[in-house]
Amino acid sequence: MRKKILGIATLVLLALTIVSAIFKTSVKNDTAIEYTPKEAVGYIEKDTEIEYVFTPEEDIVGIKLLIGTYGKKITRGKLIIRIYDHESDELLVKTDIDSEGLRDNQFAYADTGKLQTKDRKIRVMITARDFWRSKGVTLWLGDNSLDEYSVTRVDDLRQEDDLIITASYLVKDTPYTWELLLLTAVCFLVFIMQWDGGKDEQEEID
Amino acid sequence: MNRKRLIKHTIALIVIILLTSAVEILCFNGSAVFDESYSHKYSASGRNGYQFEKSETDEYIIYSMDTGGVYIDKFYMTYLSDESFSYTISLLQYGSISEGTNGTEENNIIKISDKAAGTLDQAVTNIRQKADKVFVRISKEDLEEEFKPSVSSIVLSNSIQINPYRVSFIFVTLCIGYVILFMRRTVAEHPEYTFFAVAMSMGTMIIVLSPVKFKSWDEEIHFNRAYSITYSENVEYTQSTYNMYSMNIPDVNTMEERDLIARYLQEKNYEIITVKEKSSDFVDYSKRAYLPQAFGLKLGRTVGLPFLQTNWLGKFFNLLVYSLIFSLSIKYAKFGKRALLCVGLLPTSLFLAASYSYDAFVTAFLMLGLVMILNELADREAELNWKCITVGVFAMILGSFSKAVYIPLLLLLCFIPKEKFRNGKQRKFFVLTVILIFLIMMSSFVLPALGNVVGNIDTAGDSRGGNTSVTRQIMYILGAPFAYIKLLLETMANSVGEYFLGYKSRTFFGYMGGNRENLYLLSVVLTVFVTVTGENKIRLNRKMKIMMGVILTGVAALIWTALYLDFTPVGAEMINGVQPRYYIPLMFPVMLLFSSDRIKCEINELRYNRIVLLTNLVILSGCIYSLILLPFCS
Repeated sequence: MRKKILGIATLVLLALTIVSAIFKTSVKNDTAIEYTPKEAVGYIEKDTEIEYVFTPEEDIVGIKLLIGTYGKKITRGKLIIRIYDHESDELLVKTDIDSEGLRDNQFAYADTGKLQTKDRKIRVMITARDFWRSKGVTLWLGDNSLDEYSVTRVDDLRQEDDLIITASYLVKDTPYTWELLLLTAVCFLVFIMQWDGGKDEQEEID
Repeated sequence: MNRKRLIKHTIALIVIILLTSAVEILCFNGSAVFDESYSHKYSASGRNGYQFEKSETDEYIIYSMDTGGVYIDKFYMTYLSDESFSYTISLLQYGSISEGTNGTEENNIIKISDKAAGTLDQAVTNIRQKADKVFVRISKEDLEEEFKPSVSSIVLSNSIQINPYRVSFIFVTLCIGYVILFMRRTVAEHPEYTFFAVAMSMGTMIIVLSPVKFKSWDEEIHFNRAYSITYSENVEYTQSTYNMYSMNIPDVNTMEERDLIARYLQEKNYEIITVKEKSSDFVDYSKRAYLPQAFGLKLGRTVGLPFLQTNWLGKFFNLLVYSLIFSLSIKYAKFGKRALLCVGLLPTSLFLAASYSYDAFVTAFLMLGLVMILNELADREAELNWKCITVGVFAMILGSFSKAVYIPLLLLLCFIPKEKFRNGKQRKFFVLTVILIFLIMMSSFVLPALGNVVGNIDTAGDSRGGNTSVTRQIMYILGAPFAYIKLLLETMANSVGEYFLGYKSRTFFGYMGGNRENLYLLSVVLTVFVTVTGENKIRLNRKMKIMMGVILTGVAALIWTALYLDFTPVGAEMINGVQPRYYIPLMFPVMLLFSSDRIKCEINELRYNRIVLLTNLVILSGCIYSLILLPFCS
């Protein structure tokens, strides 16, 4: 009985290993950044424009911004995000982050869909809409290792510090194949130790 | 536990407490007990005490005090300074003034140098000398005018001061000594329990007594990796954590300064100053050995322990896993139990277990794997134990996740005697599967490197090694394979003695230094004694010893080659970066290789275990006292 279970387990694991190797999964990854928040840009209002110019190393699928809400829960409003090609001024995408996704001192994710941005200078423009006057949001500025040549402007004024922002991209990966293969091999080894070269079965039949 | 035994242990506990108190008061505070006990405060105004004289030259700021020839135990200096500075205490004894050869007066001035940290406001130095006059010189050489320190008071004291660190150390050592000497059944029948007690207590002492600033090899890097695992998305660093990680913590050498540092770090542990975003939540294979440490750190943070104690907890869980797994290895070993005891209690090995590192996890799991496999290899009469082998394989895999160079040890399974298998077919499949597992594990570090060579992608090695490149180094080896083999064999042959029997793999505590005298020699003598007189009931036959020797040589070659690729400048005619501690996991099998049945030991089990355990306790406690307690915590 134990032999049968081990045999089936080995086969299942083997099948899973093959499947995991063939069908690569797209995993969303964030560009790892090191950052130190220093100051906030202040309440973002309808006519406030925050601009961040940088060159992503990959085709991005989203961006993440470090939000500040002055400790309050945001119940209304959204951040509007537009991404332009910096050279041609072509609008690549317009997206937003709703109030539910805005929490104090946490990153908020804006889905941009897949954009062809690899090694292409892009401009992220951020503005706000419909926030209560007493319950607004802000963005953090500080040291950010995302792109050393990036430029941050608030209402056209160049800032010394960078916007705390990171970009998300997709990677094709088979993260579990190696482990499944290892587990299959070990399971097979245990099976082998129970197995007797098919002798017993033959004897039982006789 | 019966009543008689309970009374015996209670009396023993009382005796140990009395003995500890007596040692602390009479030996370490003898000068205050038998001489005058005092605490004199010196300041510029002389208010509430005595006055010091302050003078200044181009090179020094000098404070001088008349002390009247008393014995000075400790020196306390309270100051204001933004920068760290060095100072020298000169002790003048009038009695030591003698007439020189040319008729002038000569005197012996004792000088003690120390440092005061800019982050603290008090510096403490152990003096332990008599003096008639004391001068304190602060060098102005490294200080800018605006950062000149201002000393507000100096205290010289000789008072009874109970050192809780020292008291704990003496108490724990005596308790363990009692267990080894008087708990006969445990020592004779269950050496694994005694091992666990010694390893946990001495390891905990290492954790508690070690300086706050990391002193183990690359400990800040290991700490950061464990710390990162405790966060799922953004790794938050407080000022204290950042200081620990960046090694920006002053070196201190007294228990008072150590407490001040702990208080300073606690104050700086509330505000998050920087955040690092993790690219993925997946804990990489090579980082799984940090899981126990990460668990300790997370637990400490969750229950709100102070900063220093949270750090201790991270190390403590590393020690706990090490001690548990090693105890299991000793419990299940059919032979070589004493050899395992000696390896597990090596001061360097235990120091690694009591620090942030993955070495202890690797060593412990490899030992468990080896024990399970060697049991099957040597015991030809027993049937193939599939549970034992499965545990052994899993332990080997876990142990090799962080250092895959040890995985060839798994190949020992290929030499399980034929008669233990039901038939040839089963054996053939078994061996093939073992080789497959070996290849899968090897592929985790060999394939990426070879892939880079084929794809001509230049992968940099460890930048600390200089001009390193894994890809170019592989191409260099492939271009001149015989020259590399010659270099490898020569280097291995020249270093084998030092790396297995040298003090750096035995009585060495990282950046706190090592003992290369009596304790080290005692450790070597004990290892040799256990190797040649260890258990004789079951042992490996000659063929198995040869195969094991070949595999061990292969592992050693892999260690050197890995460092040649990663840590040595391309084309260099030497191999850099291999440290003796990398040989610790190989010590147990090497001891078995040299075991012999020609020397018979007639000492009974209890006495033998006592000798081994007591000698290990002496070596361990001696190393902890001389390398940690005395220089950093007294």
